[in-house]
Amino acid sequence: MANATARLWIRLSLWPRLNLWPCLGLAALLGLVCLAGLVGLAGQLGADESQAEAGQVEVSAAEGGSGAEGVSPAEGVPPAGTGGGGGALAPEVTESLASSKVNDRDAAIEALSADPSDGTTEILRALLEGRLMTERATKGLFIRDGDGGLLDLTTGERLAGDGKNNLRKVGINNRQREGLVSAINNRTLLNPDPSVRRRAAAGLVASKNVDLGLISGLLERETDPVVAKGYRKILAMGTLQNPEAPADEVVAALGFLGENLTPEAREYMRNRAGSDEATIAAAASAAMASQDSQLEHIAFFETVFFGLSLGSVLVLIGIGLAITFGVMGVINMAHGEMVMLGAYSVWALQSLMPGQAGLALILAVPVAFVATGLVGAILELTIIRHLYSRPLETLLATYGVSLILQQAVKIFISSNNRSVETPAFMSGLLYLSDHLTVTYSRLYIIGFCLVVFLTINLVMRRTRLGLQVRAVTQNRPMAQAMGVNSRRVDTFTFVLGSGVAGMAGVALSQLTNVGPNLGQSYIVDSFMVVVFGGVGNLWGTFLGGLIIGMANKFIEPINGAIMAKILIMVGIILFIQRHPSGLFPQKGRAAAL
Amino acid sequence: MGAQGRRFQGVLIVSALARKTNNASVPKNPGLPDNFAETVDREAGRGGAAPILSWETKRERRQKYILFLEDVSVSFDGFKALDNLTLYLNEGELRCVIGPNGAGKTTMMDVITGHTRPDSGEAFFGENLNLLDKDEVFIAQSGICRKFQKPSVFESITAAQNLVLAMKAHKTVFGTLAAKLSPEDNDYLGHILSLVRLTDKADKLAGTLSHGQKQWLEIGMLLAQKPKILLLDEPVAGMTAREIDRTTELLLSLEGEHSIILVEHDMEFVRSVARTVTVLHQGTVLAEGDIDFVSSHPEVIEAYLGGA
Amino acid sequence: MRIFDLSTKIFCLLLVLAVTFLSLGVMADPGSAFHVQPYTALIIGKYLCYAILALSIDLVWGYLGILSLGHGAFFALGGYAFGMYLMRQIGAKSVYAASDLPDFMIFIGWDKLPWYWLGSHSFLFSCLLAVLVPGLLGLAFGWTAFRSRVSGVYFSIISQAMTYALMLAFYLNNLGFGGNNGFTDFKTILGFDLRSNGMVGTLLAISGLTLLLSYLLCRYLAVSRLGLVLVAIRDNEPRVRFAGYRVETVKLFVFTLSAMMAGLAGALYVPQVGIINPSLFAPVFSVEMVVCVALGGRGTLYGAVFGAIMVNFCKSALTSAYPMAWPFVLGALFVAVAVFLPQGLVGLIFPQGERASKSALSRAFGPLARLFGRPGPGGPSGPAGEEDADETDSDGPGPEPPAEAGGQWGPKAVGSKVF
Repeated sequence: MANATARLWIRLSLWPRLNLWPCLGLAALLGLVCLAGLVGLAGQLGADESQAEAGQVEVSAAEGGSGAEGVSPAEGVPPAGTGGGGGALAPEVTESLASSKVNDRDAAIEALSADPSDGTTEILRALLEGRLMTERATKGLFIRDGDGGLLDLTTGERLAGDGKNNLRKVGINNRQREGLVSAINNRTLLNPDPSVRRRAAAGLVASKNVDLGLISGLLERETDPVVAKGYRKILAMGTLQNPEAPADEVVAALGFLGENLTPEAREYMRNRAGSDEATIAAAASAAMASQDSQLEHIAFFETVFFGLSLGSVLVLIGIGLAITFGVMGVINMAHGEMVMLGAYSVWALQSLMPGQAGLALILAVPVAFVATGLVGAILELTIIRHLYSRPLETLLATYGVSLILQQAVKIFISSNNRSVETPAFMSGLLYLSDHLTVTYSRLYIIGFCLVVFLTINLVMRRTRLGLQVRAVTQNRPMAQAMGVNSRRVDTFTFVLGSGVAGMAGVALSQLTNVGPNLGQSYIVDSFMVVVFGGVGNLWGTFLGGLIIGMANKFIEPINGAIMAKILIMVGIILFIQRHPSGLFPQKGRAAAL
Repeated sequence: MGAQGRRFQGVLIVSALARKTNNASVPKNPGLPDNFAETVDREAGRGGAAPILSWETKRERRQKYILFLEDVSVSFDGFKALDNLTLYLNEGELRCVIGPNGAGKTTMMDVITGHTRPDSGEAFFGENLNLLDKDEVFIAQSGICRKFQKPSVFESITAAQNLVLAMKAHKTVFGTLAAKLSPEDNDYLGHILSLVRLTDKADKLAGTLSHGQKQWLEIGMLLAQKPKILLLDEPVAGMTAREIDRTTELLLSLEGEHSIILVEHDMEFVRSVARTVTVLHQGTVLAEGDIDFVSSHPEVIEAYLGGA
Repeated sequence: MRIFDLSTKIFCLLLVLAVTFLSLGVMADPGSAFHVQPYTALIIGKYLCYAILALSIDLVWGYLGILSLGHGAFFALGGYAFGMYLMRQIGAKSVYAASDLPDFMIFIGWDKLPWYWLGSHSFLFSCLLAVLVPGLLGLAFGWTAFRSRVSGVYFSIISQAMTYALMLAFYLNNLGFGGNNGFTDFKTILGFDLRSNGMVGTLLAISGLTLLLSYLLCRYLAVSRLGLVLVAIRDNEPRVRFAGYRVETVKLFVFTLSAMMAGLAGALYVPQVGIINPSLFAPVFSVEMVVCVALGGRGTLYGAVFGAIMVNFCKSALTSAYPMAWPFVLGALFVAVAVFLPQGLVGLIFPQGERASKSALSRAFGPLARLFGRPGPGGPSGPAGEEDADETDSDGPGPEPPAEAGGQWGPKAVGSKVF
C-alpha cells in the first residue's frame, strides 16, 4: 500500500507540468466512442427496421388485451403501402365492409379471405390492425399507413392524411379477429422466405382454428426444420384435440409436445392427464413436467435478463455517484436531477429533429454529457467548492439544488411527463428461441452500461486525469505539493461525474417516463448501490448495481415490486451495518483508522 | 534460529534486564558488546542473579509485571507491523520506547489499548486482565490511558471541561447524566491543572490553546483518569525547549506513582527522562537497556543509520 | 452549567405567554377582542409539533453530530400510532356505520382488525405506542448502526433509506394503514369533538407544554456531564472511547430519546392537522426539517425551534401566495444555509464563542473566510475526513493543511455557547 503510493508520487513527480488538455480530449473521446458505437448500430438501421416493425406487431399482440389472448398474427407481407393496394375492390365487398352490421362484415371478410391476391391480404391486415377506415358519408374505404397517409381502396389513390376527416375505424370482434389471423397465416405459410414462414408457423401454433389437412400437406413439402417443427407441433396439438385419435399417436404427440415447449398445448395436456388410459395419462403428466421445467428455465433466464437490465441502469446512475461521492467524498443529492436533465436532452433533441428519433437519441449522448457536465461545473464552482470536507453540508446544499432544478423543469417545460420516442433500432424483440425473447432497448442499455463503465474505468486508471483524481483522493496536500492543481481536478471530477449521470439519463429515457421526478425516484437506490459496493471503488459499484438489480428481480415475483424494493433496502441497511465499508472495502492501515 | 528459540531468548533477555533495572547495585553495561544476548548472559552471570528465568511460569510473570506482552504479532495486508514482540513493564517504571519510523511503536500502543487485535500473542494488564478480549472502553476504564501522537483534546469545550470529561467516574449513560462535581473532585482537577500549568487557561476553549498546551492538557486528562499505566505517544513533539524541560519535570514527578510507556523520537528528551529504553525495529525488540547502552548498540545504530 | 440560563428563561417565558394567550383566545367568546380563530390556533399547534421534531433533530445533530435524514419516519410513526386511536374513535360515525372497522379496511375487504390494531381503542395505550414504536425503531436502527460504527454520511444515507423503505411500505394498501390516503376524517378524541374550540385550545396548550418539557429535557441533557460527552463525541469520537465512555451506548441512548420525542411530536400533530399519510415518510420532509434546524442554528436548541417555526411559517405564506415559488425559496435556503450560515440565523444574530471577536458579517461570509483563514484540524466525518485524519497523523505537527483538506465539520463556537 505504502509502496504503491510512493510509486504514484514518483510517477507524478516525473510530470512536472500536468496538463489537463488530455482530460478534455478524453471527454470528447468518450462522446465519440458512444457516437461511433451508436452510429455503427444506426448502420444496421435499415436492416433492423423491417425486423423491428415485425417485432412490434408481435409485441402488441403479445401484450395485447385479454380479448386477443393467444392470438398472434404471423408476419409475412411487407408493411403497408408497398403492395399498391391492389386497385379497386368489388363494390359489394366494400359496401358490406363499411356496413355497421356484423353479419355484413362477416360476409365481406369471408369473401376477402377467399380471394388469394396480395391486395386482399393487405386489406385483411389493415382490418386486423385497426388501420382500415371508412368514411361515413360515402361509405368509401381507406387504409391508413404508417405516416398518416390514406390509401383510397375504391380508386387506388394515395391521399394526404388530413384529406379526410370524418373517418371511422372499421371494428372487428374477437371471432373475426381470429378468422383474420388464420386467413393471413394461411397465405403467409406459402411465402418463399423461410423466416416469414417461421413466424407464420409460430403464429399458427398459437391460433386455435387451423386446417390440419393443410398443415400436413405443407409439412411434406417443408424444407426448413424450424417451420417443420412448428407444423409438427400444430399437428400434435390437433391429435390431442381429436378425441378419436389412437392411443399410441396421442402418446407420441404428448412426447413431442413435452420435448418441444408449447405452452399453448397445456390445456390439452391437462385434459389428457385425466385420461382413463394409464399410458396416456402418464405421458401427459411427463409432458407437463417437462414443459414446466423448460418454462422454469425460461423464467429464470428472463429474471436474470431483467435483473441485468435493472442492474445496468443502477450501475449507469451509480458510476457518476461513485465518482463524486466515492472518489471526492462529495454527497451530490442533485445527481438524480443530472440524470433527469440527461433524459430531457433526448426529448429536446427529438423535438428539434422531428422524424429522426434514432439520430436524436444518438446525438443526445454527447449532448447530455456536455449539458449536464456544464451544470455540474457551475454547481461545483459556485457551491460545492466551498463545502469540501463538510460532507453533511454538501448534502444539504445539493438537496436544495435538486429542488430548484426540479421546480425549474416543472415551470419551464412542464410538470407532466414528456414522451420520448423509441427509435426503430431500439424497439422490438430479439428471439433467442421460440419462447425466449429479449427487448432490444434493454439489450442496448446493458451494452451501453458496459461501454460507459469500461470507459470510465479506463479514464480513472490510464489517464492523467484519473491519476490526478486518485492522487488527490489519497493525499490532497501531497498531490498539491507535486504540482497537481487540486481545485481543477475537483472541478473536472465533478464534471465527469455529472456528465456520466447525463448519459445515464439518455439511457433511462428509453425505459421510463421522462418527467421532473425521474431523478428522485432513482437517487436513493443509486446511493445504496454506491454504499453497498464500497465507496471509492468503481468495480464495487458495478458489481453492487448488478447484484441489487438481480436481487430485486428475483424477489419481485415472490412479494411484488414494492415489497421487493423494501426488502432490498432493508437488506442493504443491514449489510452496511455489518460491513460498513461495503462489498469491497479499502484495505490497509489507512482504512482501519 | 527457530521461532521457538528466539522467543525463548527474548524472554530471557528481557526478564534479566528487568531484574537488573530493579536492582540498583547491578553495574551499567560496560563497553560495546558485540552481541546483545551474550552480553546479557555475561552481565546476568556476573551480577550473581539467576541467569535463566525461563522456568518462570507465565502466571508468575504476569504477577510480577503490571504489563505483560508476549509474542504479539500484528500484520496489515502482509506487512508485519509487530513481529513476536515481547515486552514487560514493572509497576511504577518509566519506560521509553524508541525506534525508527514503522518500527511498530504506535501499533504496540494500539494493541495495548485494545484498538488493534493482534494476530497472535498474549497481552495482560496485571495478573488477570487479558487485554486481548477487552475493548478500548473497558481497558481505558480499568486504568490504561493513552495520549495520542496528534494532540487530541476536545476542542469545542474548555480545558477544565476536558478534564471533567476525562475524570475517573461512573461512566455509564445515567451515571454521567447524574454526575456532579464534588469539592474533592474540584480540588483534584485544580491540582491537575496546576500540575500541567493550565490554571489560568482553565476556562479557555481547548481549541484555542497552543500546541504544547494541548499536549499538556492531554497529559492532564490522562492523569484525571487516575490511570495505572500511561501510554504517551510523542508527548514533546512540537514543543519548545522550555516546554520540553517542563514536561520532563512533570514526567519525572509521575514516575513511581504511575507506570509509563513513552514513545519518543527526541533523543535528548529520552536521555533526560529514561531509565530503561527499549528499541523497536521492524516490529520486534532490538535492544533494551539504559540509554548509553542502546545508543551505542551496533544493531541499533545500524537500524537508525542503515535505513529501515 | 445551569439549565435556566438567560436564553432558556427568555424562551420559556415567550413560549408560555404565547401559548397561554393563544389557547385561552381560542376558547374565549367569539365576540371578545381576545378571540383567536381556531384555524390560527391549529396552524400554530402544527408549528409547535414541527418545533419538537426540530428539537429532536438538533439533539442528535447539533450535539452528537449525527445527521439523521430519517427523523420524519419517527414523527410519522408516532402520528400513525395515535392516528389509529383517532380512527377507532370514528367508530359508528363513519360512512359504513354498520361496522367498527375503519372505512379503508372495508374497502380492501377485511372483516376484522389485524393484530397490531389491538388496543388501539385505548387512549393511554395509543399514547404509549406513539412514543414506544418510534423509540423501538430508533433503538433497533441505532443499535445496528452504532454497534458497527456506521457514522457520518453513511449514517445519513441509510437513515434516508430507512424512511424511504417505510414510505414504500405505508403506501401499500394491505399493510392495514390506509395506504395512499392514510388516516383522515377524525371526529372525536376521548369522546370530545375534535373541532370544538375547547379541544383546539387544549391541543395547542398540550403541544406548547410538550415543547416546553422537551426543551427543558434537552437542556438538562446538554448541561449535564453527558452533554459534555455528546459534544466530545461530535469533536473526536475515538478519543472519547479512550477516555472510557461507551460511545455506542451514549449515542444509542440519545438517538432513542430523540426518536421518542419525534414520535410524541407526530402524535400531537395528527389531531391538529386532521390527516396523516405516507408523505410524512418522504425523505424530503425529513430533510426539510433538518434545514429548519440548520437555518435556525444547530446546537442551540432555541435555534432549532426558531428555525422550524420560521421556515414553516414562510412555507405556509409562500405556498398560498406563490405556489410555484416555494421550492425555489426552499432550495435557495438549503444552499444559503450550507454555504453561508453554518451556524444558522442564531449564530448570525448572536455571535458568541471563540469567534466572538469577528463581526457577524464576516461570519456570514464564512466560506470566504475559510478559504483564506485558519482551517480546523481534520475530523473523522466521511471518507475525506478519514483520509485527513490519517495524513495528519503521519505528518505530525507540520504546517496547517490547506483550507479544503482540513476543517472540522460543524462549528466550534456552537458547542462553546452551550456551556
